[in-house]
Amino acid sequence: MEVDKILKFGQRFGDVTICLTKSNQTTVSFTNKDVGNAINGDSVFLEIRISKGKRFGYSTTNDLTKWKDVVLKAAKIMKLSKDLDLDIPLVQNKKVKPVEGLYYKKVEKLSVEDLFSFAKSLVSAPEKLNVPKAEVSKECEETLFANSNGVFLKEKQTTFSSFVEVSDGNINAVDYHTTNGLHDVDKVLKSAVNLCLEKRNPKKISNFKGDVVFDYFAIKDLLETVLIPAVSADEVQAKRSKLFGMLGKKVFSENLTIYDNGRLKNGLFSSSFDGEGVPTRKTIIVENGVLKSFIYDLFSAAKDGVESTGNSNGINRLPNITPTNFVVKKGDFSKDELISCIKKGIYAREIFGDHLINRTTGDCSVGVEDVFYIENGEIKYPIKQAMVNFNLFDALKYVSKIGKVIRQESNVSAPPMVFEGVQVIG
Amino acid sequence: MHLIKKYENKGAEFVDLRVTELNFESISTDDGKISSIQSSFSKEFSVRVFINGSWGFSYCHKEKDLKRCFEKAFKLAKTGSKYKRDVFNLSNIPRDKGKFSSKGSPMDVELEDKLKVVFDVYKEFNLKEIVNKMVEVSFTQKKQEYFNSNGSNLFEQRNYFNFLISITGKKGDKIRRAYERIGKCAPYRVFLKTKFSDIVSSLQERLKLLFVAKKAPVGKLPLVIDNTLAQVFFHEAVGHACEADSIIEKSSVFVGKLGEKVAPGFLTLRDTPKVKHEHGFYRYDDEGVKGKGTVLIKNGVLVNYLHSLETASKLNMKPTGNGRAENGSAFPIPRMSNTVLDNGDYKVEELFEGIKKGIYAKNSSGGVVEPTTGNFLFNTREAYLIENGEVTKPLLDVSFGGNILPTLMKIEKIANDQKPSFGGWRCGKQGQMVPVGGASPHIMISEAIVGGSR
Repeated sequence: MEVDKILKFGQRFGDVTICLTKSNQTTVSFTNKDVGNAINGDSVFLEIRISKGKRFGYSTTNDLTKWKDVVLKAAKIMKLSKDLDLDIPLVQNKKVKPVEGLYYKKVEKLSVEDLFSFAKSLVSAPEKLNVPKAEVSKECEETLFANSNGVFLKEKQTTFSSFVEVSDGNINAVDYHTTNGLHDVDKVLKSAVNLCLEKRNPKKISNFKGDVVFDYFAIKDLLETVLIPAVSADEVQAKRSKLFGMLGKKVFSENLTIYDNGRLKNGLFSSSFDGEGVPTRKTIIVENGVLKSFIYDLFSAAKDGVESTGNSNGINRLPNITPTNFVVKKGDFSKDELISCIKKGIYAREIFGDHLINRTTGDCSVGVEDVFYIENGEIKYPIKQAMVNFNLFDALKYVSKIGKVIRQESNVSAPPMVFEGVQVIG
Repeated sequence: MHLIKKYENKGAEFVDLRVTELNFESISTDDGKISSIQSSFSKEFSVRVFINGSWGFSYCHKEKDLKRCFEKAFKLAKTGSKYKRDVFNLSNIPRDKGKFSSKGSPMDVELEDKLKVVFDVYKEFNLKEIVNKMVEVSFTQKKQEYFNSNGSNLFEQRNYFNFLISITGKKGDKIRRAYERIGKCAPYRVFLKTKFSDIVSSLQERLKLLFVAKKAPVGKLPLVIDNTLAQVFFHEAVGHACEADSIIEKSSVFVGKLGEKVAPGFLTLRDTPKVKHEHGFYRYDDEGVKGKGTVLIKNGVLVNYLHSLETASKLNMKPTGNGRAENGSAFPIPRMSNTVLDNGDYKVEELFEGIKKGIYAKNSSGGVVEPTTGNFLFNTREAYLIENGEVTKPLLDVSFGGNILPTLMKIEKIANDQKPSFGGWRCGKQGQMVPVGGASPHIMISEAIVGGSR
């Protein structure tokens, strides 16, 4: 497929933007410690946007021979659509610098045999424990971005993931890990095994108000559901964000610094350019509790008269904002130290029922999973079932204890933290 | 298909091929402005090879890569079989032929005409408290050919439409939202017959009630659940636990419960793709097995699970036609189609009789179930207080929870007003989304944990 041909053909209707993604993925999965299936496939995704003045049209296919139809469809959609508030911005030809740690040849070159041997070690749990499900996969993805302004960008990224579920017949525990390069799958298994053993013989608790150590997965879900929309410029401009009008003001505890960094070395969501071809950067969002910036794509940036922060999620919508690597700066406390500060409380690894969170107000009334009861600085026993009740914006105002180990399994890269005075319902 | 024969001769025990074409169009509007129009087309080729209890699966998007795709699938299965411990055979492999085309493809209709229908909906809004309104529609056409080494040769085409109408209103300092989501596996003319004016006026009525709605009480209370929420409840709480892969992985509360009483004797639940126009409709699953429908709970006794070819073979049972895949790059796994609860003996009014204080819960805005423990949590989209057998005050959306097995035994009454939900539900599992649906009458549960309102 020739990009130039598409650009030339499309330019008779307006500005043209092309995004082409090709990927090859291999997955090996096991059921009950035994081989299940092995999958390998190629995918391709061609996106074309035609824009002129305040209008655009967008269409896609995975059949590259049909590119002409896609251009015509996009042009037709543009004609039928209505004017947006602003002219559709198109990125200029700027230099982009490559990001370190995105592509690992040894991941791309992994054979099916290699994946089977990783999967074999992933299911090598102690005999008394079952592994209902385990999966290892690798993916190599190439992205090409071009537009009629002469922009032509390319990038290649690998990912390697492992997933394991461990069960003792009553209690199940899950862990997974995704990285651009290889990682130690034995560690993933070990963590799931330990969690499964620690969760045995859970007890019931009664209601109380106390402190909660939320570990990475809980923090990730909370930030994704409430905080990320609140700092996305489109939500702010629509006045749906609770942080509207708070720029330059102290909104959270001074212990809290949060930034978006599209150039993070080995970051899962790093790239040298964003969904609109804008070079990525580091953007400080909250510094020592003070709100410094929102995250923008070209369209929302033009609306506020600022520069895009390289946070476009692609050419299918306007505005269309996503974080890259949304990083919470680490603190000084080890997990044990976080627990040892607590008189009465819980440690919760995950939350569930994020549809029960009010995204706008930050009111959270959610279930917690993989939970342990803490008394006098020590974990006493696992808890059967509990819910927690708090407001995320309020909790972040008073955060004082932040962990020193960062994890990243999604856009969010964060340490565990302690939320004080949370209502725990047993 | 000579390629299928070729790999059978090379030692494959079973081979199948799917060719899937998807056409999709969507229009999203916000306050009468178009926020996005999208269109996409995709075609995928998917090959599975089975050797010694191990599957190789490969997919591609170019017909000329098909040969390579077969070779890859074969090699993957071969490699896997070297590591395989518990070998098993595939049994009850289907052999069927037929072409099933649905008329009235939405793709034959111009985008202009669809836009007109969307903007006509806006003419129906007339409540002064409305501060924002949204209308979204999407259309999907799925065409699939299926071949296997047992001689199956099938073609099926299905058409879908889905829409969302949402209104947000402001009265004083109260901001409330009401929405309706509808989806059907039906021709375009059925979409055109939709009575949008009725939907909008009932949404406006609901919004008015939400302005005066109160927070729900907290505690253990009796519940009357409407058709739509009951269908979602049975899908989430019971259907998933019947999917045979979760039985094999021992992550279901129904492990070892086959033949046992799990619900009251007057309760019969089935899964069937054959509900006309319902979202989970299909004739054949993605492994070429005919979807005849399966009784899961008969008069309170658990009698069957939902199977793919693999789970049926492993558990020595018959395939049920529930091996479904989201698209060409996904491997078919046991999934529900439409979850259907049979009618009971009561009139709807009789369900409320004798309830001193309870909740009338309608429509669902989401639910989660922890499969291993059986704990569940649901949210309503509409709810009322029941006082002394009468439906009284409107409530803000209510959440309620419990545990599957004890809650099933607490179902006291089932009404005789079964109807399809047409909720346009899509169910996610292992990263695959498939259209599902169902039908149910009203039900009454003597006790559930009501967690108040958000």
